[in-house]
Amino acid sequence: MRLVGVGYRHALADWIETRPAEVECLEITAEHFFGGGDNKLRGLSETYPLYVHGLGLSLGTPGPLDSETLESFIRVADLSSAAWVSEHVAFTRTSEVDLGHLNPISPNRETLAIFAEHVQQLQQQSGRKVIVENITTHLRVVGEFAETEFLNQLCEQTGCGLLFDTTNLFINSKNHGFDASQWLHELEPSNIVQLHVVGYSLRGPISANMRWHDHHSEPIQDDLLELTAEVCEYAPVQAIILERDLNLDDIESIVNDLRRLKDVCGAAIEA
Amino acid sequence: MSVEQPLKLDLTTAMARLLSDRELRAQFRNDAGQVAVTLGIDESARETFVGLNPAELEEQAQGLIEKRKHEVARLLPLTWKTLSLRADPLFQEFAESFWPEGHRRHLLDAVRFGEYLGIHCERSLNTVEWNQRRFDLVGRSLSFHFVKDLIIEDQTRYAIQILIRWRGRIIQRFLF
Repeated sequence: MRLVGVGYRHALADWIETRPAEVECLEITAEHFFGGGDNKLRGLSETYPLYVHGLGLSLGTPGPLDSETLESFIRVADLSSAAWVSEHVAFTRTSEVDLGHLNPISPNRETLAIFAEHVQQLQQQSGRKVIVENITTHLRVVGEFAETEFLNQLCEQTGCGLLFDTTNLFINSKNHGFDASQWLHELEPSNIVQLHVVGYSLRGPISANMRWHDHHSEPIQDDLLELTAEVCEYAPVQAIILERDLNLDDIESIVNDLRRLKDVCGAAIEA
Repeated sequence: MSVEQPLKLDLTTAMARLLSDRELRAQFRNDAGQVAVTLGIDESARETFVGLNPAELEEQAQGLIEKRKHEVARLLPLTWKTLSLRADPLFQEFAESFWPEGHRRHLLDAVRFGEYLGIHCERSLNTVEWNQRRFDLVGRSLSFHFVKDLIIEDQTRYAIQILIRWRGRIIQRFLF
C-alpha cells in the first residue's frame, strides 16, 4: 500500500482535523514537539500512520550523538507510534558551532563508519527502522565514493532505508549539472522507503547563473512531478510526503498537489 | 618521555569553521593549502578540504544565514518592516558573530537580534513583539512591560504589556 500525506505543521492543524480525504498519512517533525504537544501527537497517531523526521541529530558529526536531542527525538517517536524515523545525510553542528541547517558530508570510508554507527545507535535506541534523506547543497564535497554508492553501502551495512527527496535531487541536478534519472538508477531500489516532494524555487533571471532552491513554498512543477513518477515506478515506495513549509494558507494548492501525487504514484504502483 | 602531538582537525569540523567564519573563507580563497596547514587538517582529509570550491562554500554559508534571516523576519515582522533596507546588512553582521544552539534556535536568534539592535542604538526594534518572543523563550508564567511602541490602527501608543502563560498558551493584554 502506498500512502500520500503531508508534513504536519501547526498552521495546518485545523485543516487536518477536518480529516481531508487527500491526507492518508502524516510526517511529524520531531523538533516541533520537543517542547510539548504530547496529547496532540497521541491524537494524531490514533487517526493517521505517522513517520517522525528529525532535523538536528546531525548524524554526520564525528563523536557521540547529542544525548539530550536523541532522548527528545525518541520520545516524539514513541508518542507518535512512528512506523519509522528519518534524518538527513548531513551534519548541522560540530563540537564548536551549531550551524542550524543541513550541510554535506564527504562520502568516504571514515564518514561512512561514523554515519553507520550513528544510524545503528538510533535504530537500536528508538527500536525503529531508520531511513536517511539525501539533501540539497550548494557545496559539493568529493570523497572516495559517489554519493549513490555511499548511500547503497550505508543501507547495506546498517539495514537502514532511504527517504528519497525528489526535490533535493532535482535541485542538485540542475545546480550542479548532472542527470537526475541516472543518479536515481544508481541507487538500490529496494532501499527507498519514503519520498519527500515539494515545488522548487528559482532565483535570478533566466540565464546560466539561475539557481534552484528548496524554499518548500511552491506547488509541484510538471518536470518535478515526472521525476517523482519515475521514482515511484523504480522503487517500492511506501509513503509520499508533501513537504510544504510556506504558503500553508493555500489549502487548495496543497490539496491539488496531493491529488496529483496520488494520481502519478498510485498509478505507478498498479502498473 | 613521549612528545604530545597536536590533535588533527577532522574534515567536518574544518568545514563548519569555514562555513561560520567569513574571514577564514577569505583566507581559504587566497590560499586553501595554507589554511589546511594552519588548521591542522588531518592528512587523509587534506585533499578533499583543499578541493572545496570557494564560490560554493560562500553560497552554502550565505544559505545558512538566509535561512536564519527568514525565520527572524517571521518572528519580528514589525521590526523587520521598520528596518526596511537596513535589515539585511544589520542581520548579516549580527549573524556572523552569533550562532544560536538547540531546537529553539530561531527564537533565540530573534531575541538576541533584538538585543543587538538595542546595543547599536537602533530604534527600529518593536519592543512589543520582542517582549513576546523573550517571554516565549524564557518560559516565565507572568511578565509586565512598559512599552512605547504599541501600534493600534497605525497609531503608536504607550501601554503596559502583560504576558501570561496559561495551560501552554500565551495570553497577552494591554493596560492604557
